[in-house]
Amino acid sequence: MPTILKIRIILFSILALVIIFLIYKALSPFGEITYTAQPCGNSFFIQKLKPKDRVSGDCQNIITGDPVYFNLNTQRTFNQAEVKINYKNSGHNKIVEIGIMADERKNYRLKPLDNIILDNLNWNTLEKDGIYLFQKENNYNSIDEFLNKIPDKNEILTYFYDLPPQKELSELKKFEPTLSSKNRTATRLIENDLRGPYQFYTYTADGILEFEFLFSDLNINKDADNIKIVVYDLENNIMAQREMQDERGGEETRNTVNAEGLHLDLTNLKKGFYKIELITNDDIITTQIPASQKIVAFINRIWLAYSSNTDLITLFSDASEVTASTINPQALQKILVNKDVLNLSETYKQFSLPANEGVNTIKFAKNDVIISGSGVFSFSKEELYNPNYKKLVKNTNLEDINYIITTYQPDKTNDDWQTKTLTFDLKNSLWYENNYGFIISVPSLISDDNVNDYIEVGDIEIKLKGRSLLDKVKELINF
Amino acid sequence: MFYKITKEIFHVLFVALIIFIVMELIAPNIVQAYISLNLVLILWLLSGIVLLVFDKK
Repeated sequence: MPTILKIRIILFSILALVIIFLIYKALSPFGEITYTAQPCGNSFFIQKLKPKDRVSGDCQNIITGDPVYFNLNTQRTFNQAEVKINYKNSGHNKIVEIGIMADERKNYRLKPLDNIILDNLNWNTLEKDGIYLFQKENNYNSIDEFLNKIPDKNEILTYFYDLPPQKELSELKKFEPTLSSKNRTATRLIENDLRGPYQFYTYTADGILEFEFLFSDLNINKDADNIKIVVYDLENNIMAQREMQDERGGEETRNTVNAEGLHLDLTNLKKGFYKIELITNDDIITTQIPASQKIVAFINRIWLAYSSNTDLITLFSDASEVTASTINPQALQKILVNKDVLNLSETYKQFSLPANEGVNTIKFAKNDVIISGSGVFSFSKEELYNPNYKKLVKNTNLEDINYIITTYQPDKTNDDWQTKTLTFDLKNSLWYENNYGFIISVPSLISDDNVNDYIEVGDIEIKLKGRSLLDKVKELINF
Repeated sequence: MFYKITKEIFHVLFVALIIFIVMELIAPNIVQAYISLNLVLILWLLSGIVLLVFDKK
């Protein structure tokens, strides 16, 4: 065989091997693949932390602001990701969490990575099947005993563990006469304009839920402003949904138009709490919510839309930290949280204040403010009720708390650098343009606050598991 | 011999470039994740230039 032919065969064989390697890596025929990234490396698969103004250091791996994101680029979908992360907490950050993007609305499913509050807690600890119960006094001998005889709601905090929500409440019995069908004429109205999506808890004593939602459309964004209302029970089962497609047009014209409304009238429901979610974008203003329900407690976040009304606005909340932000320079102001002043002094920045009264009062003069916190918000004290147990957050006051139940495994080691592994379900996560989106949330980190707090991220290793090629073939044959 | 080997490299790089581009069109980043297409293109051009410089004719 001539030499030149041998060289040709060798060169084309190398090319064939390269192509096989690339296809093998893309298909991962055995259903498993592992990607790693070093802090200063340039991994194509595990991308750099962003945005850049919340990270520092030569390798852009020191987190100084909350939250930061990174993408995992894959050629195919997988079922599970084991994220092994090496990190150093400066010691000031009580809570660090990692999450994966669950849907197109950029909701993230979070998991606890580091919780200094629980790590340093010297309470009695019980453990069973990855569930940890911290108790101030040794009142329970097992987690089963605790779950069978759950103490008063106000004594318990949960952290990444869902205790069954209270479906019916004896405390609400006093409301029942006003909620019965006989008294349905007692219609109430939420008059404050609300911007964008929101969700709230409501309660029915007689199985009837009746709401009217009236909307207007700001037409600022380019996307169609569709509106969807979903009613869930407390197990997150969908009970009803109503939808309205945007056929008004006029996007980006900035002309505010009436967007009509959606009516919700459900009967024969079981007595108890329900969650109502409005799914839309920030162009939609809810102008009125005439309702016959007594309890309307907004969950975690409420955006009071801009209006010329200059009346003092009062909100009530059970959140142990109140956060305010705005995108409107005219809305900069001082907000009164109980007796403390929260100075909303800059746009596009979040300002927080601890609020440790059972029911916190938030007062402010100007609209177009986003008020958020881990808890519920309402326009009157009577409307405020949270069927869920309070969650442990960075500023929670543990004085009146006797029990904390969690799936977080407390870490008693005092090493600067720690390595932990978290498992994420990818089947119910968003895979968009070949990427899974991850978030690292450190609620106490604020960029440019002149506090030397940070999280330094070292190596990240992500082990992906999914269907093998054989499984896929078997599936196709069975189909 | 050098000329002949360079010619073979030129041919194989050309085929590689075409296949890689088709693969990228079918599944974006399947090649770029591991091999820079720019690099393959530069190597192919360099081999072409070498062929022109050492053209036997």
